[in-house]
Amino acid sequence: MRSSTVPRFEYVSRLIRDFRVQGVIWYELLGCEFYDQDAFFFENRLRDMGIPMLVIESNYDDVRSGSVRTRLEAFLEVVQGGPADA
Amino acid sequence: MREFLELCGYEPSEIETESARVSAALARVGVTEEDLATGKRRLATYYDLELVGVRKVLGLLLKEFTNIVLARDEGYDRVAFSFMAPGCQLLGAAIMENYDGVAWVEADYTFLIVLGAVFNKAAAVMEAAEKLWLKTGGVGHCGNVKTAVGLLALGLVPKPDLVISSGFLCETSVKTVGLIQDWFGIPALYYDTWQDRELREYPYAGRATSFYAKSMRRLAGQVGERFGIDVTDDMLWRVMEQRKDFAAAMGRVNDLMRHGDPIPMRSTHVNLLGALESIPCRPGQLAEMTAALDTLHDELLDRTSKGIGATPKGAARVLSILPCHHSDPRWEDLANQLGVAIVASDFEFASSLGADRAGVIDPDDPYDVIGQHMHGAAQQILGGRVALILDACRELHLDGVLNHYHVGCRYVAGDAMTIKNVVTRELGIPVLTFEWDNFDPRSYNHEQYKANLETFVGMMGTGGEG
Repeated sequence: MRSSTVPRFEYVSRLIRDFRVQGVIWYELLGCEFYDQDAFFFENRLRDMGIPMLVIESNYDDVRSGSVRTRLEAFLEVVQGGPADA
Repeated sequence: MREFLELCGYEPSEIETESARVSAALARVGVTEEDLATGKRRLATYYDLELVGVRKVLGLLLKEFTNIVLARDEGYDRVAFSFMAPGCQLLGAAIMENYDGVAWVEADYTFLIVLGAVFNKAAAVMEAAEKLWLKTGGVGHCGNVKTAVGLLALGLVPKPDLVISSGFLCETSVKTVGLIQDWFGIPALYYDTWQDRELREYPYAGRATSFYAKSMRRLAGQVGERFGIDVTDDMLWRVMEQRKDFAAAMGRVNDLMRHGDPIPMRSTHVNLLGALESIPCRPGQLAEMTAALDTLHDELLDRTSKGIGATPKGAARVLSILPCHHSDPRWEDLANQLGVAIVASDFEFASSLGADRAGVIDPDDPYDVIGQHMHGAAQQILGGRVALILDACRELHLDGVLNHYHVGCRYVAGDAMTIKNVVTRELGIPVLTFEWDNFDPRSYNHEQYKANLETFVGMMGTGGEG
């Protein structure tokens, strides 16, 4: 987590491979400059690997909102290749 | 082009020799004939072109812009690009004076003036950065950092061999310089200092300046290794000696703005001077900059003696928290029109130990001397910054404080409410506080700003004689 961008990405890539991950949810604190800038790099590199990534920002508050639910369901559809409740 | 260059103070002989270079540089960055017409109109609208000194300063920025854009074409085989990097203008100047093939560019401020304030094309640079990792919106990233990234992304500056930044005030630049390396493949160097100062140390900043000196010296060594050059202390001492005349000339101009009633030129010019200070000078450039400031000073002195100025006599005199807008002169122009004379920025002030170099710990270390800027308001802990603001308001007998805080910067945004509370309580003068981006022209909202300023003038109870 506290590595610079490329070593951190290499570590995440290893986790993706080892755990056969199909999608990445990038959760970051609203206003966190470091994570927010890194998200761009990760999203693009993961796209090259065929791994979709969803970015969710919050302010350490409750994220169980309708909009977050909708985005998660849509993301699951992307990852699974079909509707989330199929 | 001839008319444009005349507006920018080029002498007839320079127009003959420089016109092709300037045209090539403007074409390279996408400035069209239509943009040129826009530029001429904006120069005439926002700047006091009847002053030769103003034209000369604009011309110097255009020359620096041209130097940067054409650096590779003109044989520079090693290019360093720094941003958010105080002190690098001296390091860069020292290197360029001694090594012909090296160009050190600090492009942000020059481009924000030329592309932004003159040609109104800064928004495209911001948008290019926003297509990468710097975002717009309520919690937007800093427009200064966006400028650096946007210039690189659009190829408006030559692709550098090194990119350099620091973490003085800013966590965005720190991350961005690493991402520039990872995304664009440009090696990045970084130098640092600490911000964990304590108020009881004020006005002393010895811990910070010492750390800075060590970090900066290490940076110079790393640049030397990468470029195959040797950066000696003597090189830095020479550049610092050369810069004394320039600094003195700048001080004389600033003094006229601070004490003139009315202010002798519009506040739109303040950031032209700031941009000039940021240039890592090539040999000969500094003398030309000093001469331009001397010309400007003489003209402003003449205006002062005749009572000519940019605002009515007796207009409200205010301190700007943060410098004036870097790419858009509309706000300062509007403020002057409504009778608000912006006489200085808090960034111009330093604690006494920094101002007279009494804070230098090792007088034999040029990096320690360069690091005295750590005594400045921009780098102070909040309590120190507030003390400098209060001192400036008292010394200049100001009527109010304008705090257009740069919202992309968590550091200055966090200071805003404390500054307002303390200034109001201690001095009893009003503080106009609002958020914007100090570098991004898209912040501008004419009706809102006009209403804010009119209310502010009413609170200060001064409207001048006009």
